[in-house]
Amino acid sequence: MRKTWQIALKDLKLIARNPMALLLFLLAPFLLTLGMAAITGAFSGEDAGPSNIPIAIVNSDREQLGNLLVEVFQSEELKDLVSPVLEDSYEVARQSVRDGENVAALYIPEGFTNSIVLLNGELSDEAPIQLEFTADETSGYSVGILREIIKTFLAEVSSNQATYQSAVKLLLSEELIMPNEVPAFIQSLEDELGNEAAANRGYEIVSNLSENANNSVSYMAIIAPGMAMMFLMWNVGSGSLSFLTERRQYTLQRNLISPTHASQIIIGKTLSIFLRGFAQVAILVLASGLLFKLNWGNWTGVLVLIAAVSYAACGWGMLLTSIFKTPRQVSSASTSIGLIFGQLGSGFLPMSTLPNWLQTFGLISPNGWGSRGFTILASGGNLADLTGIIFALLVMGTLLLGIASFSFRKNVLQDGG
Amino acid sequence: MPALLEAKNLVRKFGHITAVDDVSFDIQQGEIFSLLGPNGAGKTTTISMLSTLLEPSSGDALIQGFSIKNDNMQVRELIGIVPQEIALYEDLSARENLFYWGRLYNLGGPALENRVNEVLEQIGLSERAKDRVKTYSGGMKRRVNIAAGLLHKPKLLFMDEPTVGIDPQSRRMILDTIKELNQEGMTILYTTHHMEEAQELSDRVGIMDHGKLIAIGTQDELTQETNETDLIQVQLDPSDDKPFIISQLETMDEIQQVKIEENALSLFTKDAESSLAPIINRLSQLEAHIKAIEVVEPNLETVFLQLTGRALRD
Repeated sequence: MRKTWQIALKDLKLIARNPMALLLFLLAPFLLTLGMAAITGAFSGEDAGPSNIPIAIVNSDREQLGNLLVEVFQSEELKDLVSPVLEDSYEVARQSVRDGENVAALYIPEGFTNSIVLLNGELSDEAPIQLEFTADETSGYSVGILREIIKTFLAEVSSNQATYQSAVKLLLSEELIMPNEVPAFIQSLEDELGNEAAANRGYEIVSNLSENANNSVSYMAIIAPGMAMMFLMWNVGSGSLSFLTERRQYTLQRNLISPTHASQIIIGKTLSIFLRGFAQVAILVLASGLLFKLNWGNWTGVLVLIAAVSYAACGWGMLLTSIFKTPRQVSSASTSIGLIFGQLGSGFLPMSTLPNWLQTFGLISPNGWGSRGFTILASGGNLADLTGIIFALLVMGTLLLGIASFSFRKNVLQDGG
Repeated sequence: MPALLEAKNLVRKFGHITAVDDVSFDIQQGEIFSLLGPNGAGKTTTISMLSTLLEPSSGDALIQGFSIKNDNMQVRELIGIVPQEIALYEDLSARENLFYWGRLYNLGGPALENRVNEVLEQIGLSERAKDRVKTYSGGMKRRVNIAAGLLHKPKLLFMDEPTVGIDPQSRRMILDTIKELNQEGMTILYTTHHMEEAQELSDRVGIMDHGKLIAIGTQDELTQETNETDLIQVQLDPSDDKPFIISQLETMDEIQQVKIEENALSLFTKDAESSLAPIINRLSQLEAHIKAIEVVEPNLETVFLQLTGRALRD
């Protein structure tokens, strides 16, 4: 272990002594992310995120509030942002989400309006009838937008409820109206103000996403990890390149003929590549979190996810090194793969904007999994929600490192480094 | 006393090419043994096998009884290697490099600190030990390259052409260091294509060509075996038409081969004594301006020529 650490430490020292490389590894992704954020308007509030977000709406209420919510989604103001489709069955709507036809399905249950219309100025004792919301958890940004629309609607209802309650209570206390006159008074107010809302307590959205009813996802929070992971792929690519560079400089051979096992050398060098990758993404995440208040979500989850993504990325980097013979070949390959994987993992645009088959194909990359993980975290998920993703990344990394290590040993032992 | 190194029928093939072909030799404790041969003769491949970097296609070698094929780690503890390349991390200082390599050889703590200081002193780089290697001259890098191979005080040191591409002063320092190490008891396997280095350093010499070990022995033994070729060296004037002169000399029966380096002609003959006069006459007829002429005593160069029909530097 001591030798392994010495080898890793030496590689880290070497990278630290190379200011240009440091700049590229640590600052470039940060600056590029800021650039992307500026272009997309993430700082100005004019978010140039996705448009025509498809949502299936089932309005079983068919009363004032249910109809109003549908009208909100169909309004002129939102016509570029959302693309609502009315369905009769919530099961059909949910299936359309599973099939990737819609980002989310909204169910407005029967009795929704009646359960919240104020009849006598007092709060109802009945449990509220809740809206149900099913979303594609990988489309965090789009889902966040849809959720914000619903929340805004419900907040408006709540606001009106408070206004009506205050007015009615005041009139009742002053005996200016009698209790049996309240419904007529409310109706007159609604007619006067053009509002239907006078509502009950506890408006909630029952969702398939955990603890995320109060969270929204920033567009930059999608792009930033995507960008970081794209640079991570380049970083590990160039880190793996050090195997070939050392082979050319004969230092690898010198390592190999010292009383050090080949496995110690491989692990030591891989460890340094991993640490470089981890540091790169972690710095971007921390800096953007602190400077721009980006909501990355649960920090434990974020750090574990970064580690898992870095590990899987190391696997890809090492695999490239074991396949190609020259630094130029590895460099070209890692650049190409970095770009491709970058796009597959929200490096330029959110994954949700990609066709379904491409999103599925993206799962061959650490970026694809990582992007899903970061979206879940930014949407309020925690480490437990990442179990599958972490597992997939660890399997990917282990498998690739195993193949690369086998190939490396074979090549080195046969060719004498 | 058993040999420190016994190489037995070493063969290394790269595809269809046989880089080392059935090479056997031994090295005694305390000896400087040189492998002499032109580039591509198989010297580096032989050292790569002996240092466990490259697995032999067949054959084996024992170093203090440990097999290079089966006892890698024990062999690596016993040997040190100074590769032909500057195998150092250029962005680290000499001291950092030496600490790193020392730790890979299981050194640590005050023992490593002392040893690093010792070898830095030995190679004369104590004052610049904290400078990055990339700021060093070629000769200084070579010296650090040697120091890295000495840290763990190996019983057997492999030095693969350690003087390639350096200035005469550094070369002299390296050769003197090798002699000092040998006087301190270190056994050395030295490869070179410079006859002079092999002659100056070696107790015994193995001559390699095309992967084969074609002769082995002390310098005296080798020159006695091949004393049929003499060498006459002629220094010409720069204004002489050397291609024409060479073409004419090559037609003489007395001359086996003609080589030229700048204005110096090397004429290989069967018998220098009887050939000298005809050669001078011929050069006069060709209106060559002879600045100096010398009959060179038989040496490893002439041995190599005799054995291979080619000059060593080809």
